[in-house]
Amino acid sequence: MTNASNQQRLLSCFQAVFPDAPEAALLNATIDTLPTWDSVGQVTLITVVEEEFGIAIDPEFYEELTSFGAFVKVVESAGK
Amino acid sequence: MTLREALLAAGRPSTGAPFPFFLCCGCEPLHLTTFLKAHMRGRLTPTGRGVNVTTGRFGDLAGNIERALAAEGSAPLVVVLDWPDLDPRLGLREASRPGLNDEIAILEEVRARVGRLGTLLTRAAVDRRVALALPAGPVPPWMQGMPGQATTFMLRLRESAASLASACSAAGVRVADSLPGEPYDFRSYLNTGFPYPVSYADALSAQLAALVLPAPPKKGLVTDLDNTLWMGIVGDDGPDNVHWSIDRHARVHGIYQQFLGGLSAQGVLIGVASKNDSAPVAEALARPDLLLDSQSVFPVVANWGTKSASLRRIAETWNIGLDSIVFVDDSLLELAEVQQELPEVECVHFPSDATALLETLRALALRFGRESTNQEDRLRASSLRAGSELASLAAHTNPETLLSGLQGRLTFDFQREAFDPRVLELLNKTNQFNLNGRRWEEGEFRQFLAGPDSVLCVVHYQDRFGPLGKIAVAAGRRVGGALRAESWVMSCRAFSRRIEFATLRALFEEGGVDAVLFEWTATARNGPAREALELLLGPIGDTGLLSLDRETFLARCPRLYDGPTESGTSLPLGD
Repeated sequence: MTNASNQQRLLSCFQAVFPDAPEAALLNATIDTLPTWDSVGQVTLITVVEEEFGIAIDPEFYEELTSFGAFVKVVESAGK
Repeated sequence: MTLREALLAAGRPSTGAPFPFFLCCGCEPLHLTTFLKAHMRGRLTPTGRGVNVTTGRFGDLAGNIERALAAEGSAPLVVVLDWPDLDPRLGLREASRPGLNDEIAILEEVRARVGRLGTLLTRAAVDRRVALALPAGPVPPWMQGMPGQATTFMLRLRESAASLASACSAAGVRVADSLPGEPYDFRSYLNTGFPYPVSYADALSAQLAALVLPAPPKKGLVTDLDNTLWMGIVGDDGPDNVHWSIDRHARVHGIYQQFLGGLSAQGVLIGVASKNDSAPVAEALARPDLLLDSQSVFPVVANWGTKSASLRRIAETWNIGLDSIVFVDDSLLELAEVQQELPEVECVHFPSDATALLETLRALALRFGRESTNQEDRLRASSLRAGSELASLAAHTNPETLLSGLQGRLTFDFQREAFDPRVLELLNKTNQFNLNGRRWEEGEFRQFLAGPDSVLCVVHYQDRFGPLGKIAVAAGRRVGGALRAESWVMSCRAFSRRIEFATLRALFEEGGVDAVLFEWTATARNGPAREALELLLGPIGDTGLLSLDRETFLARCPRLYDGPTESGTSLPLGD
């Protein structure tokens, strides 16, 4: 699995949860740049990513998952 | 469906006013909201409508229901109940110190909350659709007994939930059946307040959406005979040597016959399409040990033509769309031929294996599942048989002579105090004689019934061929001395008897109006309604408000074979 394909799969997760945001904005998105990235959006995003990659993200990391890049890292650290 | 798929389905572009509903639960609704939206959207696909869901406050199920009931309109309620809603000590998020008398206190609290919820949901079901899911999660481990033992405490808890379900069901609430699969995700519940695994939330939402927006049930089943309704080939083996008994190792066919009998009793039409000569088929179907009343099987098409041609003929006799028919055959070749020629028909393979048969029958039963069976459902098969006799008589008889000899009797019922599901069914399922194709939401119709100016006329019919039951409905509102007809439908089983004209006469005479204003819109299928209106009004175009006054009606109404109407609700139409 390449990082590029992980990034594409993560992007599709972000697009499902934040359908109104353009692709370029999502790749650089942080919790501060997307108004719809609230607590419900966060839990939904985590569940969609867990589902997509077949991983269980430790709740300890929830608060650190505040950007697209942070999700890339958590997916990679899960060995994906 | 995955959560990502649900998000995409829920977010698809929509048209028209969104379908509103309330999701009432005590937990964080989170993914239930998404999955419910997606499944509701799926069921609304033909309309293109979106959905608008309103949720409530965490930990306040009863309050959420109360707020939904206080809101304007009569949007459906989806209620998802879990143990902590009946006592927070039954959940694992609330911290509490277990006490010696906890179980007694909890059971008392559960009974009190069940009573309150029962009252609320019973009230809600009066004017709206309500779907209820019962508790599925576990109770705290320290409240369980020995391994494998159902404790008195747990049995009483379940008894309370069952009593709520029973009372709600009796009041018209649609109670969801239990689902397979793990219903609890403790990690998610602790972290987010959402207690269900994603897969369970998906399955639960699909089930609840089906209860709120049920798919129209199939209307008819056409079955093959040889090695399907019975074991053996009737043309080769003879009518006495086809079998369905356990001692002949043919019980699966007997079960299938019983299944068809059960469907028939619920008003499902049962027909036969068989490649056979008709004589041995008739003889075999007349056997007294058949587990299906042969009178409930109509028509029986036995010939050497294609099965698709037989199905077309049966659909015409039943006067229903091919998409309302399921065809069952043991031959994959015959099924493929029908599927190729008639893709609208749902084709089902009759398996020879007993276990597979049971699964097939369970799946088939869901296709025909309906909330209740009314008198008209039970009359459908016999009235179709009578209609067929009438049609063959009409082919050789002058129409006036035929109508005058029918001994038809109409009853016009103007009461609108009680909601009648059959009336709503007629309004929402009739296509051919339909003033404008309008469909009514249940809540909307209940509100219409309560309106001070509303007029509802429900028409019952019977003649010498037997009763047809409730076969026509006119619904509208008084506007000055006129009736503005918003809906007017008549079952196709009642065609060719001039009942539409007798209905108008009843509206003028018993409804006491001087004119009827029709909200007319042409649809792809309402030619019969156009025909009747044009006979009275001349060409009517494709849409508009048409006005018919009493004098015009009396001048142009065809002969109805009876004298002027007097007071009362019963009109004799024939000799």
